[in-house]
Amino acid sequence: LNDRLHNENVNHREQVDHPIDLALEVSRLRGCMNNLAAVLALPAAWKDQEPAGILAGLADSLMGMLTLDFFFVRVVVDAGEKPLEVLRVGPPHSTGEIVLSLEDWLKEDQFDQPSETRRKIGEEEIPFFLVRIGVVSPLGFIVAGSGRSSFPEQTERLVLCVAANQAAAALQQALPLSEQKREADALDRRIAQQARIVVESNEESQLHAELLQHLPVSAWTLKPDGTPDFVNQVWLEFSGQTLEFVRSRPEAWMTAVHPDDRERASKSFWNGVLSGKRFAVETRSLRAQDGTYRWHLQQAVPLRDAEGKLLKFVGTTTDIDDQKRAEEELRTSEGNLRQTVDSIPGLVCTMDAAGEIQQLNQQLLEYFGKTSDELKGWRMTDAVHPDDLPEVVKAFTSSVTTGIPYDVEHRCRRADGIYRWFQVRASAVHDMDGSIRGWYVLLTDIEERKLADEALKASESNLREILDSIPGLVGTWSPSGEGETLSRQFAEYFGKTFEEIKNWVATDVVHPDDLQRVIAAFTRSLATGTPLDDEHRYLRADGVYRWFRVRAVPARDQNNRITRWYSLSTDVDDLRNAEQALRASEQKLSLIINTIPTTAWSTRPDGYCDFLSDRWLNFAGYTFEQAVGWNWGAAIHPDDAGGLSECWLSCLASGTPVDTEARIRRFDGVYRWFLFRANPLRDESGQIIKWYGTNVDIEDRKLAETALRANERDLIQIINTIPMLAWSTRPDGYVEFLNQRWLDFTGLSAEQASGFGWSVAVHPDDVQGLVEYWQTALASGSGVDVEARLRRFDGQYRWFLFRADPLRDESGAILKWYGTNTDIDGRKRAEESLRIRELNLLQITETIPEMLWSASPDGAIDYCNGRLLDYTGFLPEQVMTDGWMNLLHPDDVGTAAEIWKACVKTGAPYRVEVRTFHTADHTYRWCVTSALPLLDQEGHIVKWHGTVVDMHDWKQSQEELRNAQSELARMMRVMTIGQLTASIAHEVSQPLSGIITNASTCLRMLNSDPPNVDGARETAQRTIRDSTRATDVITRLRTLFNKQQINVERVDLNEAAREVIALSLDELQKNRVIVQQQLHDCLPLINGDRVQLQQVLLNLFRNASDAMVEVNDRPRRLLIRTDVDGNDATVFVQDSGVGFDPGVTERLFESFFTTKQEGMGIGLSLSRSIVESHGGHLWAQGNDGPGATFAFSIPCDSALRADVT
Amino acid sequence: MTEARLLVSIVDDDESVRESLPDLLAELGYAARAFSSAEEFLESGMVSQADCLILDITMSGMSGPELHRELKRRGVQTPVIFITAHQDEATRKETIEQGAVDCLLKPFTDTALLRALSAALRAN
Repeated sequence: LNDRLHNENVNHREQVDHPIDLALEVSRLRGCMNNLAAVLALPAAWKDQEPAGILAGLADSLMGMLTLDFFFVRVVVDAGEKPLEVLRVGPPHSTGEIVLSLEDWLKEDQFDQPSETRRKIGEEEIPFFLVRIGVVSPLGFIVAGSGRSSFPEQTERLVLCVAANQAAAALQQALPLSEQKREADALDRRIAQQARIVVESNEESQLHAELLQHLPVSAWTLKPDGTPDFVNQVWLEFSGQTLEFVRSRPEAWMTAVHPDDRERASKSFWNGVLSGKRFAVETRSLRAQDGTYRWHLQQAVPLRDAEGKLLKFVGTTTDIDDQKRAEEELRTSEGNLRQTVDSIPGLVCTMDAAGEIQQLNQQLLEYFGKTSDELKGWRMTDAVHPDDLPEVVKAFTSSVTTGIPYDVEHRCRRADGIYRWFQVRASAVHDMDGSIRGWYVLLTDIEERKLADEALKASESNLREILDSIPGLVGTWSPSGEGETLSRQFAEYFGKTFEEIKNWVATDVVHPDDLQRVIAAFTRSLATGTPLDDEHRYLRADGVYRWFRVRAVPARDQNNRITRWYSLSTDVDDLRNAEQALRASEQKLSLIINTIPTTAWSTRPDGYCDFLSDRWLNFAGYTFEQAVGWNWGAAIHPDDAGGLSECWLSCLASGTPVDTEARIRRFDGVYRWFLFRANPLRDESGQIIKWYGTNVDIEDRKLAETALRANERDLIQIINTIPMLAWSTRPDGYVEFLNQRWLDFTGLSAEQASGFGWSVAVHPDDVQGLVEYWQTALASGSGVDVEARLRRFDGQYRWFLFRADPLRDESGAILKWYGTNTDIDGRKRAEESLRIRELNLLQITETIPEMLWSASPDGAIDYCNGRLLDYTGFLPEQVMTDGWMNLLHPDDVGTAAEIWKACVKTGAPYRVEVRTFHTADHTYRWCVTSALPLLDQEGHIVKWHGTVVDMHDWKQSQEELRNAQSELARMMRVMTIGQLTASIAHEVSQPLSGIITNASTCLRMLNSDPPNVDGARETAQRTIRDSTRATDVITRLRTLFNKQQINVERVDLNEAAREVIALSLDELQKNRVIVQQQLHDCLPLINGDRVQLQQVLLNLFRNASDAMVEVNDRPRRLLIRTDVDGNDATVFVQDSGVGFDPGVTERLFESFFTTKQEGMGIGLSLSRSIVESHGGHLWAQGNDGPGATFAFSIPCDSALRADVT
Repeated sequence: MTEARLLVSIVDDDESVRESLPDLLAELGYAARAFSSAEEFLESGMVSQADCLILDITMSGMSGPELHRELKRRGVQTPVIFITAHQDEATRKETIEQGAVDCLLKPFTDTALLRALSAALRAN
């Protein structure tokens, strides 16, 4: 520094013109040193100063120190904020001039560190000197100016630089502090604002209260401790509570809350209140108007002041009953819906648009044997039968693209791999924009239907084949004569449609000449049900009429009603033609024609053929020579030749007419069946002279017969395949047919079983009965309907239903019996197990050691078990219906009957205590008879089931117990008198003492001279007062101990407690017990016997006092407190005694249980009886500290039971 | 100038006693002061001024015998007559043994009281 100063001085010396004044120089340096020292001391003055203060101090110091014309400092305190500036201006300049000049210069903002300039101020130009404050991060700068031309001198620069550094250091410290302070100020401002708002809101609170009062919801406020301080009219009107009541304590309003919700409400409430947080709870509250509970949402929010202090809670109670019920209904409906979906007899699922399963019902899971998760993510195609898949895919694709419902029948694979037929229906669910959102799918199992359909189709096809192969026109007709089914031959013959044929009356299918007759015959048959048999002509397709024999028979149901007509029309045209030809020939050929049929021949008596008609020869394609003699035999079918020859020879030998059939080869090699008939011509002596024979072409008939046989085979097949055993017998019962099933079942052959052989398959136990039944039926001709067991081929017997009906001819004579055996083993076994179960149940009811009975829904007794009958000694028929009244004591009958009648009407459970006759000792005993209705699904009574329980002994013991309790109560009174003797003596002695003393004083005053009359009067008055007091004591004692009657009155438990405290006070004091009372101001009155309750209190006080006898290390404190808890008035008796072992809490109330050496153990037991007879309860609990609390509470609306005296 | 009367202090929590007994004592020629509890008496500043004390045995707070013991502890030798409404012979005996002049059972006659007072004053 010295060097620098020296150099400066040298420079200075060089710069200035005048000679160096050493003394002046020394003075200047000294001044500089002083200035530096002063600058270095500045931070001490800046301690705890704010930046503005620091800058002001800096400016003031330097202005004085350096005799400046102005000093300006600017510091940026906070980026974005206005910089802090201090300007000091000395004479002769004005602030405005300096500011203008500075602004111009500072605009340039381009200076070195430090920088100097000269600026014009007013008329004068003066030097400016600028130094930055802060080196690393510049905070601002200072500018100093002086009119002195030498400014700034070296020493002045030094002082300004050091001052700038000192200011920088001080500002670094002061800025954060300043920041904090500013924030604190801002906070203060906000708080003030909040406070203002609170104040304003308080001003508005009156308005708010008005508003709240008239809100259409229950609104309320709570003090921070939870006590309501405002409740609007809505709640008060709803609950019927008064404002005073609600305000009386925090939980008063909860008396309106449903008992089931109260604990939850209380918990929420206190959680909210104690934590100071918002709370909400849903409860049911009682509407005073109609006594119904409605759901409410109670919610409250805490209201706090600016400092966060809890001011109060503001709450509302909103009626949400309708929403709740709607929710409940929705839930029920959803449940129902789910139940419905799960009980739909089909598989139900929903799929998304891509066909992936979303939701499904139980049946679907069970069918596919997969879990819900497995099925989701599964595709329907995974379950479809491969053969059906192409069609399913096609239909599904079509549905997806068009959105039309999907309805396809296909097979789905079940869990066990078996495919079953399903009808699958799906409907699309569309979005708002019409795109498909998903599908609802229903799969219905139609396997059975499919099978049945197929069987039906097969059966129809079979029948159709039969019909179509019958060589005739076969048709079925409705009972009214409309054509139903017509065989193929109809169409072929007539060359018409079935419709045209069915409409035969109006078309030309029947020859016009025959039509009216046919209609008449047809109509008659339909009307009378007699079979139709007519011949008429049908128009063939080629326009030729041919004769047909038409036969129609009706089929009837079990009720003999015609269900259908079956018709067969056989072409008999040829036959008729032949007949006509014969007749013509007859006419022509007289005798021969009369004897010889169309195809005719004759033989000699030995059979040698000597004539064959042309017809015969033409047919066979033989010449007469080729056929004559025995040669015609070559035209006979080889299979028939032997039989025919044998027959012919036999007839020749015996002379009997020939009647046989055989096939004759036609000229074209085709064999046709012929009927061979021949009669011998005898001479007068009876000798055969000739045989005349005919051959009638019966090929058509044969064909028909064959068809018929085929039919018969079918029938037999049907009979053999129908799922039952079938048989037929002759009118005498001789079995001539048994179907294959019958034989298969029994393992018997047809030979073994026919006739009466079948009976070996009948169970030995059943055979005799069955045979007798069968013989009766045969004799009477009535239908058979009987059950018996049949032995299966494997030896197992199964139950069968035997049914048979006779077939009668027109005269009513039985032609045949047709019968079936139906396997009813399953049903029989089910019946048997049911019977066994019933038997078991009966056994149970007959063996359990209870008396049981049942009644029909109308109340008529229909069953009494043996035990009940044994007990009463009555017979079942004496008790049934309303005979039960005979069992009861005459005095009880009326009441019991009335109650029973009411129960039967309403379905309410029946329970009466009645005296029932007991036969063993010929007395009536007390029994409880009760019954409950058994309801069906619709809730109708199906049955009443009841019991009778003998409770005579129990009832007697109850009576005895009551007597014992009563006796004990008397004992306790006596004991209490004994225990209270000292107290009584004291209570009486005190006023007596006063009386005697006052009386003595009075006498003395009167005897004095002069007599002190005023004093005597006063003492006499005191005598009277003390006498009254003594009388009061006596009266109180008398009511407490001489009591006989129960006297129910409105009792103030506070008052009762005060009286007992007064009575016991002396003894308690003697035991050094400090008595404290906390009696609730608004304790409701209760109904009860005041004296009984006082005995309880007395007992509890004495126990408390006794429990504290041994306590010497703490005050013997007895606190008697009363309180309201909901509807109950409660009395707490709390002591600081030895307490009791928690293990014996309940035993404390047992009779003869005592922890005291001299106790009897009846006090608490009786006290509890008394309290419970008031509908209340008495309990004991340990204290948090030493001692115990006994308490009892009694409902305000209690009704005293008069069973404890 | 009247002869200075002997002062009898009565301590009893029963108001009727505090009313009636001073009047009787006045009639009998004594000056009397009544206190409602032992504590009131001890704080009255008149502990050692009485010529005789009549103390109730059973009182809320400090009992009569306890007060008697406390007085003896403080060196106060004033004769004591106990009065009590309890027929409790054991307590009565105990008080006599501890130095009481007499123990009167309420109600007592003026004669009995006079006799006890005379005995007490003799003892003093």
